[in-house]
Amino acid sequence: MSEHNYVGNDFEVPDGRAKVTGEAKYADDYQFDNLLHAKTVKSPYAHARARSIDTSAAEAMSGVEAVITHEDVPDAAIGEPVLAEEPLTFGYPVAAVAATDEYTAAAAVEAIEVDWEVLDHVVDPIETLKPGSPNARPEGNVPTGEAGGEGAEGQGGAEAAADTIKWENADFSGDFPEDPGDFTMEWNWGDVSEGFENAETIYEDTVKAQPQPTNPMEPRSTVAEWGTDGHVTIWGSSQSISLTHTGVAGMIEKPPTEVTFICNFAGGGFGSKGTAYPQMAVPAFLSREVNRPVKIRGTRREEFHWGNGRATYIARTRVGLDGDGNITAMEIDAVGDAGAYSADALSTLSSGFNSLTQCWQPETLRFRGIGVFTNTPKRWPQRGPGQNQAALAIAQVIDEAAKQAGLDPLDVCLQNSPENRGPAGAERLPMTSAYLGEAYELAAEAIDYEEKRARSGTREGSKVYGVGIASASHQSGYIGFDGLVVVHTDGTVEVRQGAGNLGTESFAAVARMVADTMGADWDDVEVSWGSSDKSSFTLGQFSSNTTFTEGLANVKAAETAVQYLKELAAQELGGTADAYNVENHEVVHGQSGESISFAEAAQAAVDAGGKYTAEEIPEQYQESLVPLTIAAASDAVGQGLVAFGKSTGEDLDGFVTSFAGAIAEVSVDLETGKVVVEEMANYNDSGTVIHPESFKAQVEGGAIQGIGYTLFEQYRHDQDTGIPVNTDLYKSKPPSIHDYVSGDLHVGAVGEPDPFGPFGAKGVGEPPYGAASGAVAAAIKDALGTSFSEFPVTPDKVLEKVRAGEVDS
Amino acid sequence: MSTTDVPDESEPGGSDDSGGPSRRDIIKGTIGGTLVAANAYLFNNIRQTSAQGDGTPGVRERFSNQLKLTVNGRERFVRVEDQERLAETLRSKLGLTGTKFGCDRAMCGACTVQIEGDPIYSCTYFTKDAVGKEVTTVEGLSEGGQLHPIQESFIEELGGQCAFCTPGMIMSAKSLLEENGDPTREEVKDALEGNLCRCGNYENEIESVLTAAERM
Repeated sequence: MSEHNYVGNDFEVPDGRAKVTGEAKYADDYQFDNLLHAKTVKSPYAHARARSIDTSAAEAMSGVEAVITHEDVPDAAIGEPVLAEEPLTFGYPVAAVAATDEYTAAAAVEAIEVDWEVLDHVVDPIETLKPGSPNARPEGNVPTGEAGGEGAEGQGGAEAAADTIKWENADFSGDFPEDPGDFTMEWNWGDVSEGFENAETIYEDTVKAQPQPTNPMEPRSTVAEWGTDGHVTIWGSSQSISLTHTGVAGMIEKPPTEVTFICNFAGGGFGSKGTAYPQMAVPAFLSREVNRPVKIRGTRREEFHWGNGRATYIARTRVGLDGDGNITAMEIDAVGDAGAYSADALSTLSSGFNSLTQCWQPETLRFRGIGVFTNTPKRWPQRGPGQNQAALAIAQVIDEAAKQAGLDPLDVCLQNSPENRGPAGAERLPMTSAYLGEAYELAAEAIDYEEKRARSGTREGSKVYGVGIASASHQSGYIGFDGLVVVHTDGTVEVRQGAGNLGTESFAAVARMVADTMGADWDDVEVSWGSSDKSSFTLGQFSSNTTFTEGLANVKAAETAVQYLKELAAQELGGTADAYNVENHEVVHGQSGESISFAEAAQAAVDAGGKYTAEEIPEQYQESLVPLTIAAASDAVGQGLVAFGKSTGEDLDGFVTSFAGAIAEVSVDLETGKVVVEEMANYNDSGTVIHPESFKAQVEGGAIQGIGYTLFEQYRHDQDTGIPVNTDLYKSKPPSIHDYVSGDLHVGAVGEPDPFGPFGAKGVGEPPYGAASGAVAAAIKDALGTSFSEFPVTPDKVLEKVRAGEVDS
Repeated sequence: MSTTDVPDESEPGGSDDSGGPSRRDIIKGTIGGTLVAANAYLFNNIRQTSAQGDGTPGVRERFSNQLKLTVNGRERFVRVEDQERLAETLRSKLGLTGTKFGCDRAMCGACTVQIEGDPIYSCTYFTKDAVGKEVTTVEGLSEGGQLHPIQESFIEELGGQCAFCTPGMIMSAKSLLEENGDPTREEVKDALEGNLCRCGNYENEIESVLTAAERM
């Protein structure tokens, strides 16, 4: 049992009932009168320009109410345009229609004639760097702006800039070009050549971590209603409220105050719906024409074409180990793919590099990276964007280096785990806490590592066993965001959070922390989610950060509320505010035991007015709060106790970093090529666990997705045409219920509190994915005695190795 | 969806022998435009009442493609296109949006409903083929506000993360437990293998079904 009333204990989640009855409303579920249905005209080429678009036949059709083309929407620099004159990928839209039903809309799309000028395309990231190769974008082949930074993870978009860089003198015959030309990013810790001189074992390998479509279960549907008064309401599917609200407002060139964004339930996002996306603006611009609600019902195919996904990360990794297994040097040259839109490759690279410093703490390093554009769908953060590719790409390298040094891979992992405040990132800044070593140890114990190691390499019929270890990390907490707590005169405590409801239940975890902070009864705590009109401004629900970031801001709001409650009790009952405590939904005098209820205190707040009801905004918040947060309190001003919170630089010293350490045992069938994950342990350093059930769900879900990444999932484009060839779920392919672990999937938490986290919490969602992915890769390599340079490890790749005689027999 | 078309007075089969022109005009006037797509369930209730209440033939005889469906134990009248899929009808005409479109082509199972107790993908099942058969959706599980044991266990075990797949999962689980009240873990996995959960929440989904089995 937890020391707190709520934090650390399970509870019935506030949205549980709606999820099992069908009452939960996703974007496509809202019912409207007078609704129009939108569909888009898409490019049939990987790269082409619309010379002209003839919409006259469509406009003449009965039931067609609006037609727009790229000329009717704003330009989008390097970001994704809502509609493109020069679509840079197959399936990207150039025009859109709104009609009285979907069938009419589809017929209208067919009736629109586009005169296409077909342009050169390139879909392979390395190919883009070859002299004479075409550029995927007119501005160049390489994004050169600043990386979006791990905090925003490119969700806000990296700086839009591009250049042309070709590796004129490189030899492109191997997995990674020899004698590469310029990179656009370079990190150094110390002198890496010196580090290699101190190494006894040096090992190098190139791994391509493949692209993948995100494929949340809910395709991205949106309804937009552009009112005659200019106010726009958007019902969308998003991981976030605050950032999507402001993002979509920008996209349709409106101030946020003239836009309401609603998303009560998001059917998965995994990063791809972190903020606003241009598909949201299509129905908005159509609605502007007719002032009627317009829906675009996303399809699975569209999810592939413009749903974005994980970036390709091709890394040549070289590590040096000394006799004790210390990593004396780590050198990486990497190419990241941005797809055609956004500069996210740079964030992929910096996030991956950052995570490697966090997990491996090399004595010296040189990391170089370059992002490239290809005529493939936008690459964008997907669960551990960069971190998890890096985790996959390095796992086999560590395993082999350890073996060549005569060491157990687990010992090498433990040996190089970070010290508690170990340095991280290009600047070698401290982390807030790090317990990766403990996570490895717990995983080893859970899976009985010694037994698995003993079975490694043994045969059972045509199957051979192997065991692998890996880690991943994620920066998972940020400051500078707002919290808002209202105590209503009926005593209800309402948390107005701005993260949204992605399905992780972290929005509810935030409310649990508020309830404990305020001594409130959980039954009388409500958490509002889903509408921008009641959202305190916060970061998006990505980067595993909601529990920390929003928890911290709202705990601070709760602390403000507690202070107000005490002051009001003192005014009502006498004595000083300090003499009072909050407990059991009351404000109680510590000595006399006299008390007033939260309801009475809220009434006292209304009677007193001023700061207590936000009729006056306290000075400390006037400058610091985002105006949207103050607006989100507007209907409560003067009606109840209103308390704000703001997390600031004083609340944090270092990178908030969550870790996962995983160990997997696999069997590989040498006759069929099939890999089965027999057992896995995935342990996480997430700080204090706020909600054990959802922690477990996050780690298991991350592990399963990570297994899918290593074994099944991919996104392939035909080189000659640039057309994607596996745009169906059964081809791309997310793991089914039979596809993950045949035996036990052990998950757990280290549980050491973070000194800066609210209640000691950090984050959960992303590291277990990368650790699982890497552990499976290392285990396959351990079983076969040979490394894979391309993923996923599908049966054909295994059999190719068997036939080539590369597999230990 | 030609629900937007106002029925043609001269449409064959439109012989009007019961309600007289006045009721017809009311219906015609009310359902004109796209309103019917959004709120059809309201009007279908009206039709159902008029069709059943006085024993006279209802609007079925007067509109083309008017079908009688049995959904969650109730008779529902709805006008459909030949190519219309059951998920479309349920969602956009009967207001039963618990059934989801996840892929439109029988790959994900988010649209799973029961036909005569068997789980089917309603995204690739023609509505006209459901005539005369009992259709059950996730909305049909609770009785008088009392949740079905599978629904209860999916709440307790966090059976849904994003929960977009959850209604379909629950319908597959219901079909399993109606046939096999004491399934093994492997049998649960076999029963849910047609339901994709992108959150990878499978362990909780399996637990939810096993917990429900114990209680049923």
